[in-house]
Amino acid sequence: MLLEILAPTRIITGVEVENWQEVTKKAGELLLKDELIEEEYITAMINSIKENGPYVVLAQGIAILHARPEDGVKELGMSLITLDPPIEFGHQSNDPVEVALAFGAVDEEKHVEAMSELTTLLMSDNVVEKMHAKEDADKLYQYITEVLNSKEKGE
Amino acid sequence: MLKIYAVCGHGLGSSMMLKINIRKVLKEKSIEGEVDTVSLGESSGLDADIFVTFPDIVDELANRHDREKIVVIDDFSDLEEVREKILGAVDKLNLN
Repeated sequence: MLLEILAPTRIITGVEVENWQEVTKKAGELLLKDELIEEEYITAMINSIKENGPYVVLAQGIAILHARPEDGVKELGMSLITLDPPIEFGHQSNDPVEVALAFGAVDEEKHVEAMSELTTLLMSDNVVEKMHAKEDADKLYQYITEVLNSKEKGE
Repeated sequence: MLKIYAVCGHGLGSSMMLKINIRKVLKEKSIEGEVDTVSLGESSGLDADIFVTFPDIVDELANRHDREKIVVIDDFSDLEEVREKILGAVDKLNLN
């Protein structure tokens, strides 16, 4: 499921930006380009962090960016960027962010399986370091595929 | 039965991933419990034994629920942290 909603065309490695707002914009633009969201959804993701805080840096070096379905999601989808240099979001312990994922959910159910697989991915050993080291989108997508397939087999 | 809510801003992403790992540590110890997700706003009308959330959310959540019931997780993927804090909170409940 994760592999279906995250296409290699929505992955960019080595993104160079100045701040967390630009990280969110960049990741959001990948969803916009594929017409998965309305442009307003990007602003909603930024506002969500302003309102709720940088807890979206859910794990060491990883930010998960999203807003609500009614903020302008057309279709379930995800994008991923790796950041060079890493960017501070203001989180008390998980900064700086090296990998940012953005997604748009259409309801409370359809993305559940993808979130479960994303959890599996993010709990694999040295995942941030490994994802950050991949030099292009295809290699990064390939890596994610391998991690999820090996977990499925229970290795 | 033990009731736990994982709380985040929207109740859609972060709390869902947190829920998965809370369920994992309960299962390890064969602790029966219901774990659901909820947004901060919607949590107001709900009650539970434990509310689990993230650092930035905790103050807002504490305005709505007893601080004693709230557990704060810094890194949801750190199963060691989730295990220690959740099991600690469950132990505390059992003592009361």
